Amino acid sequence: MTTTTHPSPQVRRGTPAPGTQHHGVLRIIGTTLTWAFASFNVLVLLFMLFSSFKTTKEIFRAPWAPPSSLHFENWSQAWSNGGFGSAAVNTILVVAASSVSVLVIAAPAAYALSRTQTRLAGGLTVFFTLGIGIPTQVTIIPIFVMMAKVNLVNNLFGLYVVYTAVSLPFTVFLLTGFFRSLPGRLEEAAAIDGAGVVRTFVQIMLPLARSGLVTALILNIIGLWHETLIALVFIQDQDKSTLSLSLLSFMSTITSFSDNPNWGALFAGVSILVLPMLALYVWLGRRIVEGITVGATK
Amino acid sequence: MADVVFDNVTRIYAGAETPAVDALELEIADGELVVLVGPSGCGKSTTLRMLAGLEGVDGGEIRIGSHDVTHVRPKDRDIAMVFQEYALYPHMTVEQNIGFHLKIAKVPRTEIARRVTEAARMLDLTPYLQRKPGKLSGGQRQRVAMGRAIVREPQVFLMDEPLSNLDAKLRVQTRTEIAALQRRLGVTTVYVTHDQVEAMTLGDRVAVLDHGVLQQFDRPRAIFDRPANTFVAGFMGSPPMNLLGGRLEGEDVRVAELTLPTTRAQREALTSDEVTVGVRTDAFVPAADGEAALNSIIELVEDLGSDAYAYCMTDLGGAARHLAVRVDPDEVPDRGAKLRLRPRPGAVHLFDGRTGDRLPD
Ligand SMILES: Nc1ncnc2c1ncn2[C@@H]1O[C@H](COP(=O)(O)OP(=O)(O)OP(=O)(O)O)[C@@H](O)[C@H]1O
Ligand SMILES: [Mg+2]
Repeated sequence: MTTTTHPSPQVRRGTPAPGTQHHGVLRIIGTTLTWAFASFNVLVLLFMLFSSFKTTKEIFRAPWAPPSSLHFENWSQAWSNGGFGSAAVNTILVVAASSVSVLVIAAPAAYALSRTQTRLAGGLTVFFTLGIGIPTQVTIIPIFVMMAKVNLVNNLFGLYVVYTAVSLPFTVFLLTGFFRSLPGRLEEAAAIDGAGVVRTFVQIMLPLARSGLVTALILNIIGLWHETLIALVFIQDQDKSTLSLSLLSFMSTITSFSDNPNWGALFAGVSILVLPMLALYVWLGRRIVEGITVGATK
Repeated sequence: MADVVFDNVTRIYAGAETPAVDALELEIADGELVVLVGPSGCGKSTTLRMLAGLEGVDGGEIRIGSHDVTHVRPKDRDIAMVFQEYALYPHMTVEQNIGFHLKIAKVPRTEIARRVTEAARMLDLTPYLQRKPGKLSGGQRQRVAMGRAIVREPQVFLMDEPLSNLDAKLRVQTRTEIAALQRRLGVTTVYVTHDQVEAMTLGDRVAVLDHGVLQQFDRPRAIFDRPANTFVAGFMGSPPMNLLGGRLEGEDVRVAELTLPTTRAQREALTSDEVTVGVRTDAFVPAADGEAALNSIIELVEDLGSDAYAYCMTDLGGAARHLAVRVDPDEVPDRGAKLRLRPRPGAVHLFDGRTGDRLPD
């Protein structure tokens, strides 16, 4: 991307096309709503960050003011007392492994589904899509029983398997739509160039689907990073806990076992959970929007 | 290099009632450039895609160089194709696009580089080798698509309307380049277009299709001079041949005041007394006073500089009909002027009025 910089500080606004001005009202409403939503989120984030550096007293006295002094001990207390250190490692391992595995399984599956027109493929697509509609709460007990039979409860590998499985339906659904939107001509060109199915998939379709894959990856990472219910059911030991579990237990320790709960430390804990995802979004979010098929066809 | 044979080839799409290509018979000689032409939806692309192996064949047999390839996968047919939308790989550079087949075919790297460089030089693509297709103009993309085909040195080139995305001037220029390149390489080529000018100028032979049925397969000149039926007569030529409804009376065909002689063979070939009379725009001459003529009034004049055409309304015994007539570009008549026209003797095409087939000469 090259951006042209204008020498003059005033950016010239082109004359709008005739008739487009009538959409002014809609546009104002839309812009207002967007900004309201964005500012609300930014405020919440700021509140979280500010509070994580404050004493409990200060949080209640001046909830919206920046911290008067930075109480870093909130963060260290959350990190050590909450057991966030090992939890962070566990979470990173499980989330990274599952979200990558999901893609490795879902991408070929979605590609195959998007390119076959048989009745079986249609049925399979519906079957995958059904998985999105069934809430985890319904399936979690049967899954737990099954995993217990193979000794994979209270076990990070087991959690990884379950995470991968529950993420598949949505990912397959998302990627099927994405692959369907890619021009089929390129596969024909590849076939004539002598590429087999695997090479066409790996060397042509996957690079073209990159923005779809990144989208799926980010959505899965964020979803699994914050996942609590399954982890709560499957993990019992403190040393196997994930970040969201640690936060949960940290929250209960702080609020129930102490007369003088340190809310600042709690917010520090929340920040530890949220900030990595924020960073990930800032880093990769733009890729979601970036189109790559430009120039594939006339 | 090889010849290509379509032997009674039929394609019926799932759910379609009529075949997209119906019992097609074509024999294309080694090194020949054959143009498939016809109106939209007549089955040109389907024919080409069957030859490429991108479409199944429901009946008949396709042979390339005497090998039956009817059920052979595209990659094993040794063909190269230029798609209408080019279908370049957007994430690869021009160099990688052109060299993709060679890489798959495990050609040594130095050899790939040599052939890609050679193709790029031939097509004036050398400065763009490291660019991605998204940053090329339409004409450049078209040349990359050509490059991808020619580095392969295949048995057959297939081109599906490769010029239709170019502007008129570039199209004419690229057309001559393709013709020259094909003659130089001597590779058997099947070229699809719906543009009859392209067909006439480019093809060694032209196959005219309509509704999936081959109408005529011949040299461009022969198609122009002796169209096999009224469809070909009306499709080829710009403006197309005038087709007038006439009736056999005795030994002559009557069209309004005109009487045109017929041969015995022609009369015997007729299935009814209805005859369609075809007259090219340049085959009209002014009628002398008292001579039988078509009385016409000019409605519109198209002056192209080197050519001029008058579009007239003529009275065919009660029924008004449009006529396109070539007129002298130096003395273009005015709109509203009256013309008395008769066809030059010997320049009249006669067709069976019912079947549309050409009557024997
Ligand atoms: N995949 C398909 N499924 C069903 N019918 C098809 C399919 N592709 C083409 N057809 C039909 O087959 C007929 C021939 O199509 P084809 O694409 O060969 O036409 P064409 O001569 O290339 O036309 P154009 O000049 O518009 O490209 C058309 O009637 C079309 O509707
Ligand atoms: Mg076509």
